[in-house]
Amino acid sequence: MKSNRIMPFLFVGAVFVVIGVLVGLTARVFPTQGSAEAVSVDSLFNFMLAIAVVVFLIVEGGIIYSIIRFRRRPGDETDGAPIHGNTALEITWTAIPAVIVVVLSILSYQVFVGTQTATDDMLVIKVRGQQFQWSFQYPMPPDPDPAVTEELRAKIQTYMVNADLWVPIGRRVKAEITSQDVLHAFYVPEFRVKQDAIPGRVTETYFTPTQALDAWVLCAELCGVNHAGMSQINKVFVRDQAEYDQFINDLYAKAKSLANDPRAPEVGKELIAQKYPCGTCHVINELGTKGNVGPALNGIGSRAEGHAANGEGLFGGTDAAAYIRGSIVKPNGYLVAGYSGGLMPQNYGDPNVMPEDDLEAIVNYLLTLKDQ
Amino acid sequence: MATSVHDVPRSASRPRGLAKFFVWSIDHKVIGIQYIAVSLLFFLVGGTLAELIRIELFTPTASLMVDGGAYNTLFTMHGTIMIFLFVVPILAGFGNYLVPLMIGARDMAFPWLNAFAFWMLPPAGLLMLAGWLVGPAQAGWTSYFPLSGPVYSPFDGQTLWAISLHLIGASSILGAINFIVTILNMRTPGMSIWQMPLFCWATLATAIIVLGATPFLAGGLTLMLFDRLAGTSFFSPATGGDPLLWQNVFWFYSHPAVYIMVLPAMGILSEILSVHARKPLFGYKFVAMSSMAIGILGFLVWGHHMFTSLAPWARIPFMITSMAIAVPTGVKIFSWLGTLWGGKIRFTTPMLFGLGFLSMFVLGGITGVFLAAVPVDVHVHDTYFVVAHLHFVLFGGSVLAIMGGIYHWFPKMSGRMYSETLGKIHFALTYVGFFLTFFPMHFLGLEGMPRRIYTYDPKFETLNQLSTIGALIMAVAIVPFLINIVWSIIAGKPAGNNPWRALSLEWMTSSPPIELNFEGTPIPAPDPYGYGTPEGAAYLASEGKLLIAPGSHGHGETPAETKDVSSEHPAAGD
Repeated sequence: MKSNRIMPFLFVGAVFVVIGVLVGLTARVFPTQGSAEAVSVDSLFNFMLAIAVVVFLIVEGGIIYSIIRFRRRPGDETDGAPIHGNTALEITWTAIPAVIVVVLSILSYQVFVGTQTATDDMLVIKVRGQQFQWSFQYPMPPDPDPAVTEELRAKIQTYMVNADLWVPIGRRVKAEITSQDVLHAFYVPEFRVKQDAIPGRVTETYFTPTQALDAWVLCAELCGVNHAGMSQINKVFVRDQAEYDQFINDLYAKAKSLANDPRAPEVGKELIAQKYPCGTCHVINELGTKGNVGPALNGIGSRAEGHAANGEGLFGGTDAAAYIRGSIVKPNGYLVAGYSGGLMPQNYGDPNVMPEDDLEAIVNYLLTLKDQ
Repeated sequence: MATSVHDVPRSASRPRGLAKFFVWSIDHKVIGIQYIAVSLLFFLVGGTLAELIRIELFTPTASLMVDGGAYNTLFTMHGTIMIFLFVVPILAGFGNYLVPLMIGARDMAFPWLNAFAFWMLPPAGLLMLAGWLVGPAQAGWTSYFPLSGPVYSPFDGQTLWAISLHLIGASSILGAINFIVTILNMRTPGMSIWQMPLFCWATLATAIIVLGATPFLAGGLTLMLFDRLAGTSFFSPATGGDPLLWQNVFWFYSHPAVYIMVLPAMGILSEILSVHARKPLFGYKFVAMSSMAIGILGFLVWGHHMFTSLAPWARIPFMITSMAIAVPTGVKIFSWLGTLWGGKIRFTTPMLFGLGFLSMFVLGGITGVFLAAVPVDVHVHDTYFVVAHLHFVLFGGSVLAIMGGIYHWFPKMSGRMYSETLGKIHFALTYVGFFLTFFPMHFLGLEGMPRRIYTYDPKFETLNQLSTIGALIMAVAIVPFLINIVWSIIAGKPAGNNPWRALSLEWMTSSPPIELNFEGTPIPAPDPYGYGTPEGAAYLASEGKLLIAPGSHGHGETPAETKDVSSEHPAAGD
């Protein structure tokens, strides 16, 4: 009775399928679904999970069954049945997985295309990766003030930068991502998006936040000594449109005031807090930064004056400002005792990376740090 | 020419005993053991680094490491050493030892080249370790630019890393040529290619992959060295280079390298399962051809390592090819299950490791399909999900097979039996420790924990602690293994020629095999997996009588009294 031998296996197979479906329907292994993309990616994952569970149970079940049923009994020195194969069976277990992967490819393609769709009213945020911090540049709100010229608006735009990612609920966001130094990867698990930041290129990713959320922007690509720290420094704030507008208006007001006097110490302080990653390697108590890769910058103003008095590490200049400026643009030119070269970005002398105004503002701010 | 080993002078004053393993030898069996021993040393080094990684990750804050750079070095060297100085060379060691025996040859086709390939390995390993003297590599085993370039990795360790891999790659290519020529030309008379043990098929497929892929590693490394030492700019964007070029070249080698590390392990598994289940290998031709299919498809999937850096449109074709690899992999897994089905399973230590491989590798195969799906990969790329996946493939697969292989052929290599008790303790601790270490990592990755970080969000702490406990169990597991090997070499029971009553030719000679392997020209069993068949039983019963008289090797002549054995039985798989 062949059917009597097959029936139990069909029954067990049906049980495996039921288990797979139940797991696929109920598994919640992902972080909060913070975006529309998360919903479609999670559905795809759970569909795959259901199939995976069935395959897993068949193989593990087959192993366990064989171990019990086909174990050698004590004293039995004979061999197993000389079965060399079964062409029908072999074709079956080639064909069924082939069909499964074709289906999965089609579904994955559809989901992927959905995550890549651009829309006309997208919010475009420029994402910049640096060792070891992200910064985000936002589009400006309209300003009816007639005193704001096109030139001034361009200047203000450079200050529309924040160390945190603010996005409104329900608006499609396009992140334009680049890097100033090595590879990084922009990663927000709650959105299920990840995209490498590649120096010299602008890459893109899209997401539509669906609920209010506080989360982290991570860096998923090894980027150097403090790669780990880069995942615990920039926050994501998903808020409703009104709160987002408030954030943007505040940011704009601040940017506008910074643009009035682009080399003032306050500008430098703001740039270090929001745009440049100094704090990921240097402790600055006033800004609450904790980086321990390079020397602390508390009291750097006083120390720079000491260097000026001794005439050391001045990079050809004469004053305290020359010491600080030189240390930023040529960090290997003068090394503080106990620190090796090559740790600090080598490209701050490039005005595309750090414009002259920003450099001056930062030097002026650091000169104000007199207390240890 | 292929059989000219016969004429190579082998002087009488060679060192004997253990000493022969420390000097230049052109005997494939000595070279095989040299590969295996050196690789096991590096396994201990790489394992120690892994333990340090897990201890650091026991808590979310920095505990062991002075800074992230020290941690970056740990996983860079762990990955590099485990891949290039352990898994790849130890499988080359198995190939060296076993292939000539399995096909009834007296040695490899090019014995001198074989020795030369091995002796590139110790200096390569020393160069790699020397990184610690000059500032070690910190850019990960993938060494992506610009991080691995001269500006961001000014230390010489990164240069030594590249030179070391260059040597290993060259060694690997020389070995591959040797394997291909040996397998295609030097099979004993009467052994058709469809009568080769599957380990030989796997080694052949692997050698073809090495020959096609490893030159790309060499090319990439050469350009890396130019960038680092000669001021060129192939990969550095600041001076007009392209960091994605490195990724493409690197993965064009390194994805096939996964199969270089897995296919021979699968070959080992095929031998172990069939012998210890006392049953013919199910679907021999499907299994042999699936190795070739995986080898060919493996060249078309490298882009799936770049799903977050490649242009979006370019990700789709790589998704399809990557998913397709699941099909031949599935064929293998189901064929192994079919091999167990209806067998008389003996739970020897090699069989336990074989079953361990089968039960764990399947999970690595399944998660591979998830990673092939672009939208899912985008979320879990460069997270602990990938770490889990690759360790289920390379540890749950390759390493468990390697351990099983060591126990399976230990009687042949040493002439002595190992301790089953210690072997089973080794297996149990390894299996439990492995699962506990790597299974939780799936969930860490799905929750979004990036890899290669030494401090992490405290919400990941519990799973990381489980993982670290598992790693410590695996460290303990090594102790009975080492004791077993050393103790058994000294005091194990004599194994006899064929303790497993296996049918493949390596068991048809003494343990350890004599110089030049066989007394005469061996006649292969009609089917290397013919367990349970009258032909198989007759072949086992007539052990030793099926050898042609000395001196007729390589002339293709088969004396009348043995001719019938090779001609009246159908080939395997028919």
